[in-house]
Amino acid sequence: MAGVRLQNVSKVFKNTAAVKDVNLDIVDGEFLVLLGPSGCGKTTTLRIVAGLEKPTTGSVYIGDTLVDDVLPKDRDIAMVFQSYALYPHMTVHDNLAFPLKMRKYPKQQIEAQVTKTAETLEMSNLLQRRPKELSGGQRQRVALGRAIVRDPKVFLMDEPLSNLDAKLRVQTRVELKNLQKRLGTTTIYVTHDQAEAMTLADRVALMRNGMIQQVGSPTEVYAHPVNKFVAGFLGSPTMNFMDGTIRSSDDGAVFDAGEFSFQVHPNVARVLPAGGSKKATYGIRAEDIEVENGVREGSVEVKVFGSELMGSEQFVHGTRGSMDVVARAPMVFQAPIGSSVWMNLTSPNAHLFDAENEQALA
Amino acid sequence: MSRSKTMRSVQSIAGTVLKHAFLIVMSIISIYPVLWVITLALSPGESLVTPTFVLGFIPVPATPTLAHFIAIPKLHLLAGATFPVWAKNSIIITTSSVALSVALTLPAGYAFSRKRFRGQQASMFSFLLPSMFPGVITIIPQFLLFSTLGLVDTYFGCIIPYAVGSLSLSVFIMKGAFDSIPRDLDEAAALDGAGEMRTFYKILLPLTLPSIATVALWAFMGSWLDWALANVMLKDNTLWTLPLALYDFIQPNFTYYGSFAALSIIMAVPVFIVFMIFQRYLVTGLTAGSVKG
Repeated sequence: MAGVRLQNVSKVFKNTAAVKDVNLDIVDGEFLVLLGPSGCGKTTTLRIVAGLEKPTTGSVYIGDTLVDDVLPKDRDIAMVFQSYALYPHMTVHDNLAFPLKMRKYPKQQIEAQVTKTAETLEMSNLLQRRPKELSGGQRQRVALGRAIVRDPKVFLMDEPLSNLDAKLRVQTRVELKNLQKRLGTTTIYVTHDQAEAMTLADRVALMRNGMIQQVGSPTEVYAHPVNKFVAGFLGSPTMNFMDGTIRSSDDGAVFDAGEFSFQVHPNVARVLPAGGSKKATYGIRAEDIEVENGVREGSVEVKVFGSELMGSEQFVHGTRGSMDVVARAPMVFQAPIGSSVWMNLTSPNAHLFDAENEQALA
Repeated sequence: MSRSKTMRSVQSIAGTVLKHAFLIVMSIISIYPVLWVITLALSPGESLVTPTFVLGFIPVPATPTLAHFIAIPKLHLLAGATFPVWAKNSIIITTSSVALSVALTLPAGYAFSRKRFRGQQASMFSFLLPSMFPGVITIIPQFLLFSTLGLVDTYFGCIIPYAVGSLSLSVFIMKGAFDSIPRDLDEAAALDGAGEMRTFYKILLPLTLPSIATVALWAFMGSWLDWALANVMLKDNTLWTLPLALYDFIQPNFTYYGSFAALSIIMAVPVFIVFMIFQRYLVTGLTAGSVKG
């Protein structure tokens, strides 16, 4: 077991910088998820840790060892690929035994560890099959098995669940989390799926354009995003953003979005000195908006243009002038298309972002 | 049944009949000469005999005999050279050139698929270039070069050109085969503890067996059946290969048709066996890499 440290790591491909000055300290036994949209550099970062890519600048440490010049095979890490990368000509047994054979484990130990891994992942009955005779979920299990069979220092996982159907993905997610906690192995997990990140991670590192935007626990990055990108990337539906001006006075703060204005909760407005005024983006999540059918003091009138029923709740989509806004409402809430509803945008959980650099105002 | 439906079924039956008729005609055109050769080989004497015709056109020997086949192992047309010697020469030259061809093709295909190096495009083109010219035009320069090197009238005089001659197609078949294997497998093997050589032998080679079979078969055909190059390189009749011996049955004033036919059939047997063994690999090998998945 060991932690992983990335120090000022950058990677440039020809003229494109894929990873820019990444610093990460992953503690021993931690489950860290690298999250971000495609092309943000998360997979490249993972491959740098694996030793499959050499960083242009910067260093990687596994435990206390600098591994910049250590070959992938000598880093004592295991990786689960998005494609699973199972050896098609070998049985499940041989796929699992391969990393042990390569490391010249004694035959008896190989058998013991393969059997144990197969039992852990409940696939003892699959050992004599070849990958093409397995379902997607079973293949995924074998790929995971090949990673855990030799008890490496670090697991690296590159979107390992993305080829599974939705139901199996959720189920495997839970199993994966339990397995990692049981084994206590440091894990770096790459995904673009925020739900996966939120459920699996001890900490999430959000990346964009090769740079880490924020590192923190799932709750922390969700509740306290450091910038508009993080705020918008996490959460479904996406956070509502409104551009305008915030004006603070002794009576409280008001956000003026041009066509309408509303009170800003003191919790949110405290970032601005009394009497101040600033161009800003107001961000509020659908679940923080109260929506009602009748006129209410301080609420904003919004025309409904659609609603999505999610089961016990629904998302009401409305528009006011040039602004679209989505709010969460109970399943029974009546919001026919074309009708007016009143949304209360004043919430202690809202966020303010600088209009220029999009950083959270704090 | 509606009229248009009837029309369509008539059209489809007519189409099937036409297709089969065409295939039958083409099969007869291909097989007919072979039937003649078999008939000649099984007929007594060395001249072109008049066979019996079954159904008016299928030749069968009037008085069938295995005399030619029995005589072939003892064949002794010229001093010092006999059938066993020629067969041995053919086997040595063919197996060596197949082995050399595969040995050269695998690393070349691997390098073109997995490595990036300066001059890659140019060197790939240099492999392709010779296949744009008919092979016979290189025989004279090859002869001059090989006689300088003292390789004329040696096995190597044939083994090297046969092996190298098959490379232009083989290297591309192998490159395609390696290309079709996802790099994730190389990387997974690297992380599992395998070095590049072990990844090559344990992962890539087993997965490209169909293509290797195709490459071997291609090299085998090129050397087992070649006459033109052997005729130039091998003057000493104790070094002759089977095609040269076969050609010797055609003398200026007499052709030994019966022996010629029998030896042709004997020579075709290994080709037939090799094809039967490898045929299921052949199509996969040739199309490997063209389609993903």
